[in-house]
Amino acid sequence: MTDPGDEKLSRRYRELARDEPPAHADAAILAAARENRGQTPESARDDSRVTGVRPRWMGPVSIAAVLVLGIGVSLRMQMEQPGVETSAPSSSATEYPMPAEPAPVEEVPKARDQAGMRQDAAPAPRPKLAAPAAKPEVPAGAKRESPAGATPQVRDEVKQLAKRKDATAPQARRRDAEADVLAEPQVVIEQPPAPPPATMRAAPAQITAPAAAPAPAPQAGVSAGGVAQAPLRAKREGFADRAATESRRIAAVADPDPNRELERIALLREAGRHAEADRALEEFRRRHSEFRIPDAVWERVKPR
Amino acid sequence: MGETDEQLMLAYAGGDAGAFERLYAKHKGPLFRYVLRSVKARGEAEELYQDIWMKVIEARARYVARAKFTTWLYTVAHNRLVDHWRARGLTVVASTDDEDSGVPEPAAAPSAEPHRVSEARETLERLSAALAALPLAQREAFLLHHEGELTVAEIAAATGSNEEAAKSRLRYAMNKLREAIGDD
Repeated sequence: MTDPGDEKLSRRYRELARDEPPAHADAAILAAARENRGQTPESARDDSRVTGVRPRWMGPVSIAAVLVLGIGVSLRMQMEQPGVETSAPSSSATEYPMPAEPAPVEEVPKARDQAGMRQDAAPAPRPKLAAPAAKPEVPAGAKRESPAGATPQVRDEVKQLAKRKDATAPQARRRDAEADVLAEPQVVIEQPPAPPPATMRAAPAQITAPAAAPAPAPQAGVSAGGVAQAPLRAKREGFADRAATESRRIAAVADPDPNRELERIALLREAGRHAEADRALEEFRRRHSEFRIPDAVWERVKPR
Repeated sequence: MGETDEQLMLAYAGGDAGAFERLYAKHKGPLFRYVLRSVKARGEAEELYQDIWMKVIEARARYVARAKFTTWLYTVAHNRLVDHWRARGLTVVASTDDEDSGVPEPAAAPSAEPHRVSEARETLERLSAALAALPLAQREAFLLHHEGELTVAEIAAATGSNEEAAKSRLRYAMNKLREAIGDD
């Protein structure tokens, strides 16, 4: 590169028009540089180098965190104050009338003893809050039903609820299995299953729970509300597990290895999920601007 | 004396916008010409040029001064151009890029016109035409060398090839351009 011919060629080349970028491009680039300067947190910079976690994943992880928190808070509220959730009373509310008055608190241990129910350390709902008498959606006629008269009906309902839960369990397991099979991790936003009928949650405290209750009853009284909370707690744990699984999946995808990311994009293409693949490829280019995609890989990931 | 490009980029990553302005002022012309002569159409070149700088801005937090800044900058630019070419169905690097395929013959012999000014202009036009007609890989090697001032090793790093290939491409490009301007 140092012979005279090269020098002459270089000189001639420099005589070519010295094109410069247009002023508007300069202005746009410098403005972008100034704008983004303040968005360079040192912590994010260090994080991206050390852990490979990119800002790209902050969104999905945030969504997952919000979901977990939201579900947790709503379940907690539901446990502490049944009926506070926004679900409308179901038609079964008229079929299973509620007692007019809440059961006396002192009857609760007795009823529990009679049922032989187990106790666990789960936080107990406050009996007064669990009392359903103040619920406006209960038909007036239903309130005149005596607790004693309601007991067998509620017991039947508990059994029906348990049957329904058993019937839906295989579907839930199938959904989980399908989610596991999917190579592409997604934030699955599922509608939580409908809560049990209001009458069940608000059943009187002295009603004994069936021995076949799927989860240990809460400590503060073996109310039907407590019985209903057992599946709720199971659901809550299920949600928490699912959210944790999703978080793990997202974290697994937040792989700093560009080859693995490209492989994922290629799988999206093969699955016909081109819109997602396009977005992923664009994001890939944004994050790995200095990575050269091999031709063979490009053939698999290129926009269709 | 002054700060190196690498220091400027790291300073910018640390929040110093002035460092970026100095860096930009230094590299904007060569990078723009590299892009412009790679894609020919000015509108496309301007778009790609802005896009490349945006990628530099976005990647500031990931920048590590392992190599020269210019090598990194032109690697980003090269990848953007590759995407651009691929989107148009062009092969980025021919497997036999040392071959002469597709290169037009330079205008016959050195001009016999009497006026030196017009002769010089004609020479430059031939050079420009010959440069535009080079195979992508050869033209890129030439531009990286003359605009980016990259060495053969740096060209290889920026384009993801080996040094032998980069050296070969550069040599072929220069031979053809010398022929075009009659300096053979």
